[in-house]
Amino acid sequence: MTSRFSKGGKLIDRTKRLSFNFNGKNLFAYSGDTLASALLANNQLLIGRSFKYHRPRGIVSSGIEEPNALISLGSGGNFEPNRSATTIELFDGVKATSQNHLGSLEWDIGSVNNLISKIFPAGFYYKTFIYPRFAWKHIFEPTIRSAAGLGKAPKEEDSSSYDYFYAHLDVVIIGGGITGLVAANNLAKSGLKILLVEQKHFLGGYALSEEFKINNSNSFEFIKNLENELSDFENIRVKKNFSIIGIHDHSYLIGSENMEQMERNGQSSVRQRLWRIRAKHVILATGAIERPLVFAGNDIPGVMLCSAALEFYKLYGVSPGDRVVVLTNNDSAYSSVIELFNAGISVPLVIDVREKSDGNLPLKAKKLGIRVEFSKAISKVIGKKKVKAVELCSVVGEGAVLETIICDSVLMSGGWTSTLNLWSHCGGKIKWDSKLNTLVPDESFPSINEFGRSFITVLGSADGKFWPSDLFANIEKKLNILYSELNLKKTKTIRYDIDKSIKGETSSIFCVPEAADENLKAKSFVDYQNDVKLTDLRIAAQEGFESVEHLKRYTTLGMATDQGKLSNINGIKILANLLGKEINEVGTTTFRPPYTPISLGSIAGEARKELFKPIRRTPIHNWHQENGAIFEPVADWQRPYAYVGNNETLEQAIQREVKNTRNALGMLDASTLGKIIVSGSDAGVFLDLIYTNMMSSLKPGRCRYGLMCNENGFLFDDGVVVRLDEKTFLCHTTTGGSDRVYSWMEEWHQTEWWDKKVFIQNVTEEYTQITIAGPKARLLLEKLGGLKVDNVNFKPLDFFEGKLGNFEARVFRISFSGELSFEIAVPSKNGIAFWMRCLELGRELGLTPYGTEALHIMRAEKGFIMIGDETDGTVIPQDLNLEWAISKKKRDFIGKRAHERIFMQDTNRKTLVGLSLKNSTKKIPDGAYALKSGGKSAKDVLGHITSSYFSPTLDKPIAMALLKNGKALKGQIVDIPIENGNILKATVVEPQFYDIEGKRQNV
Amino acid sequence: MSDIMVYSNSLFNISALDHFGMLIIRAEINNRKFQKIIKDFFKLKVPSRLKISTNKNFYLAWMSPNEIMVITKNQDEIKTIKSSIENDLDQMEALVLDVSSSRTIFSIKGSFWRELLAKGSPINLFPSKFNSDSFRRTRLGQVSTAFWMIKEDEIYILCGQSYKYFFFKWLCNAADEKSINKFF
Amino acid sequence: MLKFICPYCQVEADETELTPGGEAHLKRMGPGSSDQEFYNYLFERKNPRGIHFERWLHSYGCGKWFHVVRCTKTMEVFGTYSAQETNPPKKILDIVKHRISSGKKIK
Ligand SMILES: [Zn+2]
Repeated sequence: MTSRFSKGGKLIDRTKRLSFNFNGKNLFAYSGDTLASALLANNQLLIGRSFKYHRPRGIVSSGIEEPNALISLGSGGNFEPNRSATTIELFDGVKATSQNHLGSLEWDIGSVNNLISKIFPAGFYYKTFIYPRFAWKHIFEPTIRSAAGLGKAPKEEDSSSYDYFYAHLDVVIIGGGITGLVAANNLAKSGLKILLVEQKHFLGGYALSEEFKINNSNSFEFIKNLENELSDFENIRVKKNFSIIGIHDHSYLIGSENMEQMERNGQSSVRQRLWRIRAKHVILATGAIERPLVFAGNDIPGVMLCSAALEFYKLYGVSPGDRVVVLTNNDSAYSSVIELFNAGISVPLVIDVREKSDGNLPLKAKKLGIRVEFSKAISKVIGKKKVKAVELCSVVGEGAVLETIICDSVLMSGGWTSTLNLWSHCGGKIKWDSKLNTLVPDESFPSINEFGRSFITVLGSADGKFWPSDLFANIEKKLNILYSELNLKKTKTIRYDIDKSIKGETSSIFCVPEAADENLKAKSFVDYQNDVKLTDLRIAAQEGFESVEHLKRYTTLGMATDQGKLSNINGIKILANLLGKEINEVGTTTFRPPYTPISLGSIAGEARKELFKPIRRTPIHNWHQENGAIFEPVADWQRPYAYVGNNETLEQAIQREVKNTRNALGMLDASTLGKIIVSGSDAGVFLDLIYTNMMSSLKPGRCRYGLMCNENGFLFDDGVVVRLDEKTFLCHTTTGGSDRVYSWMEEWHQTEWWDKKVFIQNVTEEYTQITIAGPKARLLLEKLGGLKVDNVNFKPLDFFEGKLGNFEARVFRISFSGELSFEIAVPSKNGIAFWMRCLELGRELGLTPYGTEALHIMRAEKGFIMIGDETDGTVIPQDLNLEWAISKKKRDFIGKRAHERIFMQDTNRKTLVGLSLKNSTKKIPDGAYALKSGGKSAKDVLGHITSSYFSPTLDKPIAMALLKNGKALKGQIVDIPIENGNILKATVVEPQFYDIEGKRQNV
Repeated sequence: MSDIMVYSNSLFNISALDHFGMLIIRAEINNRKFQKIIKDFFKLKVPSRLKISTNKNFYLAWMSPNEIMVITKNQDEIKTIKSSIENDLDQMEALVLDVSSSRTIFSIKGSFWRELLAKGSPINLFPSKFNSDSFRRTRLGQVSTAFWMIKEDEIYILCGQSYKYFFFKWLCNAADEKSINKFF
Repeated sequence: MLKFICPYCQVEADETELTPGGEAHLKRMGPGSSDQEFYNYLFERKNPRGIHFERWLHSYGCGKWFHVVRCTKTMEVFGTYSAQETNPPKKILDIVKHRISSGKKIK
């Protein structure tokens, strides 16, 4: 059994007991434990069930590479699935639950999959998608959906907060193991701004547990000293619980800082912080990960990596078992063996697949009296939910059993793989070193920065140097290169005195026994999390999958949440062996971000709820809110859609607002309309190029409605242009168009017509603009005072600037409602005061504010187009009968050349018409299709409805539509299919429904 | 019906200031004649790239190669200033606009303002890169802003008037004491 | 995440402060151009895997357009220059030539 020793454990504080809950059981642990060490200390070996076959699984590793021990953490708003138990620093009261089992963890009903594993072979998903088709939908999908999968999605909203942080640094050192710490110490005096990050909650890495002698002390004390020294440097920041999850173009790093401990104890209001870092240089001191070996039963709870067992013992005082059998292909396992043996754990046998080893460590183990068998392997592990024994066999052969050894734990070591994921995120290539049996960076194909230079230095075991003396030699050599690259003066050489005799080789045997029979292969797992077995790889190779990228997709090898940190190399090696090739020939898979999973919450950062997206408000916003406004988002703006009174529905409010404006007086907050100043001696010429109309001929003091097209000739914005004075124009745009049109003008000015002497300035926010519309509009302006508003002195399309009452104002006589109408702009800081003044003076005139829906209805009654309703990016002004706004005199304007294209003149283009319904009170659905009368198929479609309203003024539904050759359809009946197979019959009419002569606005 | 926008906690005091007047001056700002007119008028040099210059009456900020912004501490003067500088620049291609209503200035007091800004702006905020006469246009979160230092422990941030409610909420959220990443 | 030096501000602007504007140095075809010329101007865009000339806007900044020469394969940046240059400056073309001829292996 696994248990806690009475003494020891460098990271735990035995004076601080914590309680936690696993699957309903209350258990105890110590401060400093990880969830994994705490579970092992409580003899909880079985942690989860595998993805496909629901096989019992336990903890294999002690770090982020863990494939099995995925658990759900917390509850309610703190619930988070798929956390790996090995990376959770335990806190008091935490609730953890195992995942992926039907019924209980101990008695999983889904484990029948294990018995019928032949129905889930390699390529299962691909094959099932292809044949038989019905089987996927009716049999496999429902079964798989209920059986497979990881943790459940959270049901409640995430109760935590998240943050971003941007940082610019000279050097980021990734990895706070001994390599990273030594590198930081060497660079400290350079004055460079350095960030050192460590993904675990402690510094020192494996050198904490796998101790060695250095400079007359041991590595543990050496690390503590380095840590202390670093804290004295102003230019160095050291962060734990911090993973760099991606390195992107132009040396951009994304880091995730986990602060859930601080959040729990009230020191932080943020659970995770997403760092966005620009670094001039990156040092990868990311270390290495020990590989499992592939043999039958290698997934049974109790089978663990050697290095993990050593960490659990040295850092947390936890024993991996009482009788431990070790299987290795290298020397490094022996340091674990010796430590565990010395701790009093029984080690009946070390099985070494190599023919021999002359290393110091095996020698030392033998001297201690530990039995070591070379050229041997494990035929299979006996046990179901935990290890009971192993069967010894020869490495060569099919796995005939030589001896059965009773044990409760199997430790394995298949050598080490340098962690180079981050090296290749930005394009760096990696290669297999068949002497060291690890991946190494291919320095001739590095990740490069914007200057075309390599910006990543790989140090220590990440560079394939696993033994202390090699590692320090490597650090010294590589740092020297870095000094010259960064033009740094070398301060002084720090000498490291290390025992050079501890060394050893790793065999290339990853999979035993070499000629294992099919029964053994079917229980030999390569990828634990995705349940990929040796037999699956054999099938894939037989079926012709020769590239590792194909193999990966076909078998799902390395595609689980652990991204194959343990399984990839073994899988590639096995494929290479099956194909009779070298690893470098089959290729390694491409590492992509993220290196470790991060929460969606941290990606969202603060941008949720009211901070999700910027909202723009006019100066009248609060008044709208207090007076029943229902808001409508228009671009980033919030506009009142209608003001709903106490005793009316929304629909009634809209109808009331229209009627009131038509019969008396209405007022609209039009502040969101874009306002752009174009000023300079070439302003008129410039605007002639921007608008389809002639603007240079506009007289100062006058307004003109203008259209803007893009180079394709398509209409994209409209609005009233005012000539303020000889050299200054004020261009109004749509609400959605204010920023777009401003950028559009700037772009053309800066990149095409920079010879034109103009300045363009967006003054949208400077003015509160209010529309006063209705037969009594003139009366209100007279009451405000200061302007002669009669039809002679202030004609339609006139403009006035001066005092309106006490307000500095610009008044434009323009109408979008068809009523007598004035638009008045005042500086925004006076906006609300002016609005209140109008309300006060307008009360006895029946003044009522109206919203955007009433505005839209009134313009539709008049047949005025709306950008975004009548236009959709494929409509030219001619389609909307707006030829009158296109200058024939101008040599050029944006869109002119496009209008000359032959299909822009096609009579079959969709053109704007009105639609009239007889005897109907219901409006036509927006966007509905219109078909030829009696039409049944797609070829009978004439076009679609662009605007549709119930007109309170005419007391009937009205609509506009874009129909093929619309002009020729006037007077004809078209069919409009609506829900339930019903068809509305509409008559094609002119797209003006009310006051066609414009008598009302020209009074 | 003015909105009071004030927030404070143990690290920060945030408030919207509305007593400033602002002018935009568009012209070729490297032009000698222009520089002389500005210097004579404001008793301040045209600021160089990414800088802001100040005296007891004005701030002059570099906006782009053909734009400077004038900020006066007294809003009421802005009309007079506008018409006189317009007059002085009469013979040049120039545009002067009153933008006092277009923008809002927030003051952030508190020595951890760099940490607060680093939550939303991708620029380098180390004191060696951003200091007492720096003026930077950038984004903060999703909002277009510009900011500069007033004192060691105070900065002003400009944002569009229509964004001020949203941006104030953004600032208050970012100012949460227990979320400040002490870094600089 | 790209970054470019804005030639007007001389700051390293982050990609999130910029707006991309597609291929640079297009010649506008207006009235008088042939159908084919106009078609090419509207729709034929270079999208090379390699050296590319692009337009970018310093939108969260000085609001100016500028040109960038970069390699879309390696993400190297060779230089940035004003939007009012109708041809890439020789200085920048020399850098491109030098980097390519220096024989450095590109992934
Ligand atoms: Zn710029």
